[in-house]
Amino acid sequence: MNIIVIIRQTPDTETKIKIGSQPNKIDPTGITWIINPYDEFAIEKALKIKEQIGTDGVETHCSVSLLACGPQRTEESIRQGLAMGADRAVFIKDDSLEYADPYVISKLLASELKNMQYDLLLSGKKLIDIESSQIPIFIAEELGLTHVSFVMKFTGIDAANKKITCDREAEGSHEIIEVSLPALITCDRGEDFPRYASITGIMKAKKKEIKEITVSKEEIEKFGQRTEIVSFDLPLSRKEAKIFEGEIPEKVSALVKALREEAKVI
Amino acid sequence: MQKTVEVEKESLSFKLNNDQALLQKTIREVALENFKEKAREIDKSHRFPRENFELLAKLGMTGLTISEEYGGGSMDYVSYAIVIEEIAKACATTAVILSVQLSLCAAPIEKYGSTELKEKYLKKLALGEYLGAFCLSEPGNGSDAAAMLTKAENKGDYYLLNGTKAWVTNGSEANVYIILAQSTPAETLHATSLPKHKGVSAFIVEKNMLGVSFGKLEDKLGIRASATCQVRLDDVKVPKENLLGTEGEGFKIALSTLDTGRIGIAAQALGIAQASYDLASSYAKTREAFGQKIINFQAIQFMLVDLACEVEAGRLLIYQAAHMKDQGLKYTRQAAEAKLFCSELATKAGNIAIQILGGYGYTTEYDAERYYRDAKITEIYEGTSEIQRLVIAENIIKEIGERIGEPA
Ligand SMILES: Cc1cc2nc3c(=O)[nH]c(=O)nc-3n(C[C@H](O)[C@H](O)[C@H](O)COP(=O)(O)OP(=O)(O)OC[C@H]3O[C@@H](n4cnc5c(N)ncnc54)[C@H](O)[C@@H]3O)c2cc1C
Repeated sequence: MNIIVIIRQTPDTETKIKIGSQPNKIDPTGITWIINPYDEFAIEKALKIKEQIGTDGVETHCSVSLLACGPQRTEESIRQGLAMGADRAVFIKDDSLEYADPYVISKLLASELKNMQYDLLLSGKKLIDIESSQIPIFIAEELGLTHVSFVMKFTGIDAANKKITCDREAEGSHEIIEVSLPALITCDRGEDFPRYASITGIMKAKKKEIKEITVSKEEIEKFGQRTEIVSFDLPLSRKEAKIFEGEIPEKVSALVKALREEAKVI
Repeated sequence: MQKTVEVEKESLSFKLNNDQALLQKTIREVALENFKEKAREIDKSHRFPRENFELLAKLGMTGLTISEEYGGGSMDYVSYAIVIEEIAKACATTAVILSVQLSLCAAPIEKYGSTELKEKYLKKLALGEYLGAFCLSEPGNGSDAAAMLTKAENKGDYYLLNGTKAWVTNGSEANVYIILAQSTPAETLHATSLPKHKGVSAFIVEKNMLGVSFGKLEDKLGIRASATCQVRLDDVKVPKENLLGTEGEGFKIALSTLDTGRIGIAAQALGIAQASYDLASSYAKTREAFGQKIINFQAIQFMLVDLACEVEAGRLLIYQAAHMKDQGLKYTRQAAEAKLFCSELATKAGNIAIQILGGYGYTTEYDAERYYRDAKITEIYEGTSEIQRLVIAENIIKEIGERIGEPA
C-alpha cells in the first residue's frame, strides 16, 4: 500500500503575527515554521497504518511518502516528517508559492500526483494559518477520487481488498464510512499524538530521498489564481470584562443600564 | 576582461546544520511538553524523574554522542550542547542527569575502554538501559581531587576498592559508576617521588557489585531531584578487566572527561539563563506599574539588554568549545571559558529574573526562584569558578610561552 501525505508549513501556534510592509503580506521575521498540526496528525496516522500492516523482510508492504510545496524553508518540515518515519518525499520548491491561493496549490499538487503511485492520500482537515480546508478536497476533485473529510481515526484497514474504514464525528455522533481505495482522507486529531523524531529517525532521514521539483513561473500562472489577498487585519484585542459590584438588584439594574446605554444592544 | 574571484563560501558559519536544527526543534518540544511542568514538582519532592530519563532513552538521546557502532547516535558535541541547553530551559535537573550519562560516564568508556568494556557497558548506556555516574570528589577533597583517599589494591585478578565518594550525581539511581581511586601504595609514591595524581586509576564499578552502598540523599539548594549522594566502597572486588585505560592513567582520564563535561554544564547553565531571560522579558511586557508596562522603564530594559547580550555571547563560547572538540582540536581552555562564563551568567540571570518579577519572583508561583537556585550549582560542580580560572590561566601562560618574542 502506498500512502502519500500532503503537508504544508504554517507559523507555529505560538507565533505573534505581525503584518508586513505590504498590507497583504505577513512579516516573516521571528516566525517559527512548523508542519501544519493537522497535517502532522495525518503523518502520524499514515505511520500507524504502516506499522499495522507491518514489514516483511526487505519488501515493505506499506510505504509513506510526503508531498509538499512551498519556499525553501519547507524543507525543514519535510526533514522532520522523514525523521518521524516517512520513507521519502517530493518537494515542489518555489518562493512564489508562499502566497499562492488554494486553487493554484491544489492544481500544482494534483498535477504532480498524476505522476505518482498511491492508494491512499492523507492530509490535515485544515490549515491553521488561513483556516482553509480546500486544498485536499480540490485535489480529490481534480484527480476524480472519493474523499472523506474530518476523519478522527481508521477503524479498519483492508490492504488486500483495498478498503479503509473511517470514523468521524458528526454533530455529537459518529459516522463510520467505508471507502474503497484509492481515496483521499482529511484528518482530525482523534487520539493521535504525533511522535517525536528520534535520534535514529534523524540519522535515517539523512539517507532518505527528497525529490526536488522546480516549476516555472509560467506553469504556476497558467493555473490562474482565483482569489487574491487584499489585506490582513489583526483581530481587535478584546476589551476587558466589566464586573459590577454591589447587591444583586443594584448589579442587575447597572447591567441593564450598561447594555442599553454603553453597549446599545437592548 | 574582469577576473572572477573565488570566494570561500563558508569561512565562518553561525547557522546550525539540518540535523542540528531538527534536533533542536524536537528536543525543545519534548522538554516543553514533558519536563517543564514537572520540574516544579520534582524540585519540591526530590523525586528522581525516572520517566524523563526513559523518554530520553526512547528517543535515543541517552546515546546521543555515543558512536553508532555501540547503538548511539554518533552526533557531534554541538548537538550535545543544543540538547542539554533545551532540556535545561525546562528542567535543569533532567539536563544534568543526561549530561553526566553522556559526557562523564559514556564518553570516557568510549575513549579509554577496551572493546569488551564498550560491548558490555556502552550499548546499555546508549539505549538508556543503564544510567551512568562519575565519582571523583570525596568528602575531604573536591578541587584538590588528587588528594583522594579511595584506594584500589591490585590483587591480580581483581582490584580491591575501599573508600567514600561524595556528591555523586545520579548517585543511588545509577547502574554503572566511573570510580577514580589511588592505585599506587603510599610507600611506592614516596619511594619513587611520583606525584599523587600519577598513581590514580579509573574503574568501572557496577551498582550490584558486593560492597557498594549509598549515603542518604543530599538536601540541596537546587537541582533537587538529581539523586546526589555518597557512594561507599567496602572491599569491592572489581574485575581487572574493568580498569579503564591503564594503571596510573586515571587522573588524565578524569581531566579529559571533565573537559567534555564542562561543555554540558555550560549548556545547562545557558539553558537556565535563557529561561530566566524569557520569563523576565515576557513578564515585563505585561506587568504594569505607574500606569505603564514595566518594560518601558529603562532600568528594566538595561537589565534585559545585558542578559540578551551575555546569553548570546555564552552560546557562542559553548559552540566554539564544542566545535573545536568536534574538529579534534585541543579545547580545554575554551570549555573552561564557556563553563565559567555561562555558570556565572546563569546565577546572574536567575537573580535578575527574580528582581524583574518583584515579589512574585520570590515565590514558587513563578519559576524565577527555582532558576536562581538551580543556577548556583553550575558555578561549583565539574570544577568551581576558581578552578576554571586556574585552568584558563594555566593555558594562557602556556600559550604566551609558545609565542616567539617581538624582534628586538
Ligand atoms: C549537587 C552536586 C553534584 C555533584 N556531582 C558530582 C559528581 O557527579 N561527581 C563528582 O565527582 N563530584 C560531584 N560534585 C562535587 C563537586 O565537583 C565539588 O563540590 C567541587 O569540585 C568543589 O569541591 P569541594 O566541594 O570539595 O570544595 P573545595 O575544593 O573544598 O573548595 C572550597 C572553596 O575553595 C576554593 N578553592 C579550592 N582550591 C582553590 C585554589 N587552588 N585556588 C582558589 N580557590 C580554591 C573553591 O573554589 C571553593 O570556593 C557535586 C557537587 C554537588 C554540590
